[in-house]
Formats: sequence, C-alpha cells, structure tokens
Amino acid sequence: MNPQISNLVIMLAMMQVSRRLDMEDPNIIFYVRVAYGSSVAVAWIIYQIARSRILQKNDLTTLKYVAPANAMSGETEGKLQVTTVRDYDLKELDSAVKSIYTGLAMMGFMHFYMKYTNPLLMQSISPVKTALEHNEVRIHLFGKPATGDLKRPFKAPSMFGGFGAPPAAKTDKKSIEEAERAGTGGVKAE
Amino acid sequence: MSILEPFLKLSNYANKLNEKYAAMPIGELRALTLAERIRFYNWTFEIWALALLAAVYGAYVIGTRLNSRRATQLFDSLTDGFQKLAFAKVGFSTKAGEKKQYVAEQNNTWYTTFATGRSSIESITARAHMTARYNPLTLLMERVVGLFFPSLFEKDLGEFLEVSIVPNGIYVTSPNADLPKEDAVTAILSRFKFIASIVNKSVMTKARETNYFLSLTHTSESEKLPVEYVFMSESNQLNGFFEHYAGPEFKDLLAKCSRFLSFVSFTDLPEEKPITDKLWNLKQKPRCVIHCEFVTGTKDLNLLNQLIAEIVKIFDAVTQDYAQNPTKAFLTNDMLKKASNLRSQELQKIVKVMKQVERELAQEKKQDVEREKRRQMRSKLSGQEQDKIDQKMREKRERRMRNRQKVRM
Repeated sequence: MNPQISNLVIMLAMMQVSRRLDMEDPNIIFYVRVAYGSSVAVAWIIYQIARSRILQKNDLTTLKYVAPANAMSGETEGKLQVTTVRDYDLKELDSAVKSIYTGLAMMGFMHFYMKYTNPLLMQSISPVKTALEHNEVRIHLFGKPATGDLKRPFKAPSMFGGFGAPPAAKTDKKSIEEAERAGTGGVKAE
Repeated sequence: MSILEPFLKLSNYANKLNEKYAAMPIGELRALTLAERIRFYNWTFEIWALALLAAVYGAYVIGTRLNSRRATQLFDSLTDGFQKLAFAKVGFSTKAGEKKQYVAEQNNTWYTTFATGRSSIESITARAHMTARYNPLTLLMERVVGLFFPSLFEKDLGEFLEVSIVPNGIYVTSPNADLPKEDAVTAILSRFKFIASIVNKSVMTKARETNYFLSLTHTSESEKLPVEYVFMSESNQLNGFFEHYAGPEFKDLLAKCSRFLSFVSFTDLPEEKPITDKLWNLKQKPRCVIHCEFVTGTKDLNLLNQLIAEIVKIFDAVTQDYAQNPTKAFLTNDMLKKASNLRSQELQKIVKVMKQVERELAQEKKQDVEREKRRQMRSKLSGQEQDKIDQKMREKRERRMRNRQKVRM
C-alpha cells in the first residue's frame, strides 16, 4: 500500500481510538505523552543507526543530477547537483531528522500551549512508520539494493501514483552535460 | 493565553522587586539619607542588567582575541612559507614605516596578507574570513534560523581561507638576468587562459554555485586523484595538467590536505559571473585559487605551505616551458583553442542577455515617455475635448476586444 494512504488510514483509526479515550484523565494524558515520546525517540534512534552505517560505508562515488526548479524561490531552470552517495544519503537523513524536530515543536505547541492531546495520540505511530519506510533506512538498515524505487536520486512520493507527483530529478547524460556547461554559478545575491 | 504572557510575567516580577520602594510616600523617602535609600532599594534587576552587559563585553573581548590569535598563527606560518619561496616583499608597510604581516578588517573577521616580487609570480594574496566570535548571540541565532530556514542563512560567509596566486609570465634564471620583452611576457600570460581544477568531493555543488569559473567545467573522477577529489576542468585533456607539472607526489599531498582543502583551480575567469561584456574583459585574470577551510595547527599549516609551494613550482615550470622550450609545454594549441571557443560562446551569451535587458529598458522608457506625452496633452485640453478623447479610446478598446473574440471564434 502507498505509505501516504496507509498513514491516512492509521490517522483515521487513531482518531476513532482517541474518541473512546477520556483525554481529560491525567493518567491517560501521561500514557499518551509516553507513547508519543517513545515513538519519536525510536524514530530518531533508527535514523541515527542509519547515519552511522552511512558514515561507516563512506561511499564517495560521485552522483550527478539536475534537481527540478524550485518555483517557490523563482527558479526557472533546474540546478545541477554534484555530490557523493554519502553526502546525498546524509542530506536525506538530515531532512528526515529535521522533520522530527519540526513535528516535536508543533506537537509541543499544540499540547502544552493549546492543551490538545488528540494530536499526540494520532501522531504516536507515524514517526516510527515513516522512519522504517524511509529510503535510506531501507537501504542501509534492511540491506535493500539501491535500484528501482531506491535508485538515487529518489523520486518524491505521491499519494496518487504518478499523477500529481512533483517533477523528478533528471539523470540523463544530455541534461547533465547541458547543466554542467550552463555557467550559472557565481551569481551574487543583491 | 497571550503570546506575550512570559514578557508580562517578567515585567511584573521586575516591578515587584521594588514595590515597597515605589509605594513609600514621598515624605518618608525624603527623610531617608542617600545611604539609607541605597540600602532600601532592591538592586537585583540592575545587578542582572550589569552582569548581562559585562557578559556581552566579556564575549566581545574573548571573541576578538580568539580570532586575532588564530589569524596570527595562520599568517605567521604563511609569512614563513612566502619567505622560503623567495618573495622580495611579504606583508604590508604602514605610513609610519611599521611592518605588518596582515591587515584585519571588520572587527577582526576579515584578514588579508600579500607577497610580491618573484620570478614567475606577480603576487600571492591570502584572504581569510572568520565568524564573528565576539557576538555569540548572533551566531546562535544564525544557527537556529539556518536550521529551519536554510535560504535565509548566508552560507558563503563561513570560515575560509582563499589564496590567490597570480603569474607574471617572467622567467629569469638568476637575480641578475635581464627581464624578457613585454611581448614575450604577454604571449606567455595568454597561455594561462584555461580552467583546470581539483575539487574536494564534499563541496562540489557549493563550489560550482559560488564560483562562476567552476560552473563552466565538466566533473570527472580519476584514479590519478585521491578518492576524496574530482577533476573539474574545461576539457578532460586538461586534467593531466597537474600530474604533468607536479608529478605523482602531488596526489599524496592532496590526500593529506583533504581534511581542509576545498579546491585548487587554475583559471582566468572571475569568481562572480560578469553581467556585461566590459566586466567580462575587465575581470579576466590568470591565476590559481586555493580555497580551503580556515587552517589551524602546525601540521595542517605545514601542509598548506607545501601546497602553495607546489603551485608556485607549477607556475615556475609552465613559465619556464613557454620561455625556453614551448614545444615541451603540456598545453597544446588545440587545448587553448577549445578554451578560447568556450570563452567566445560565454561572451556571446552575456552580450545576448545584455542586449535583451537593454531592449526591455528602452521599451519601458519609451512607454513612460508616451504616457507622459498623453498626460501633458490631456492637461492642455478643455473638459469636452477630454471627454471626446476618452470616448474615442473606449471605442477603440471595445473594437479591439471584439476583433480578438472574432479571431478566437
């Protein structure tokens, strides 16, 4: 099943569970906090183990691709990315860990400031699930080969299959050669 | 719950500290002596404020000294290295005649040193940047903002050292030898118009983004390099330039420098992309750029000096080849022709963009003039005439719209 759809299903299921719980009861609040905290901690540990494996392998094979243009920052053409497999993997993991911190900050705001407990319960499974489904974890912890869906650069996931998916990075020789000679570097921001 | 509640709480706490003092009637307060008033007043808030100021000042002094100490260590070592390379002048002289190894600017964050007066080399300029250690709060804030909003964080201004070695095309066999003719010097310098670089794999994208000359190169891995590096050269033929002039030992040196070295690049094109043809011509300067992290520690500083010495040796060897035996030179006419073609293409691209921008500006100007002309004409006309013109314009617009709709149908 598509991970995003399964996330949605889990979210709906947890919603039903939360309706049956007394969210005013301090004991239940405590257990919900423990569940969410443990889930985040487990996800963080999974990412850290994957990180240590990446550093251990230290794969310095060069990886070249043309990242799609970021319309939000006014880019019209894709940007050439020249990196190593190790740096690419670490970057992917860093963004996953960063999303854990962002989630923690959001949940902290909603729970401690707005006094909502339901979101904590609903989010108590997804961090672990997301971590286990992360491409880097699948490659470095479960030993899956980096081919097919796991071929770097990874394709951005889409909820509806190919439809509505963000543009993929270009890896063909022609696009890379064109981007390499584009002379787009050294443009200083005003 | 207000978002400003913590500040309100703090403000209330500060006010409460001297509640008794503030509540004391003015008569009783007048009756107290100065010493009694000082004793009666609660100075907690003021003490904390002073402590904070002292901490800020302390951080400023410590941060500035720390930067100065690191810079002195680096530039002492570089000066020794330059002197070993037989440069006639190293460092700067002030108006008062005082000798300075380096110049510090902007609150001890930017440092520069300079060496000149040598066969084959016009000058060496070393420029270093260090973070503002005297302002730890800003550093912390930048880190936090950079973590969540990377686009707001200026990554270019981390700590780095950039050494720029400029050739002069003059090769002499002894200090008393005659200088070559200017034509010969110009001919030799024109042969340094190519891009050949060795870039550390950890900074490949960043180096291409921040340096125009690297963004024109082709990236390739090679067994001739340590695993931490790639070649970034205009053409693959130019990759052999380093091995030809520096020998296979250069590979070992590069491997030892991989901890701090970002890239070594022989180039004539600027770091910043030129936006006009004048800038393109003005900013071309053959040189070798060594870009690395801010180097500290005796071992790394020795390695850096060795690297600079190797690059100087390369310039010596290339200049000697062109001066004495041009057929022996690594750079063939074919390679230089290819490099020249790339430059012509780039110049054409810049001229094209420039012309487009000029056209757009001229069009905007023309529209502005026409608008102003219409406005002036209207102001001269009477009310009825203005209404007539408005009517005509409206009809014209409607006619155009109808015509467009017809075309679509």
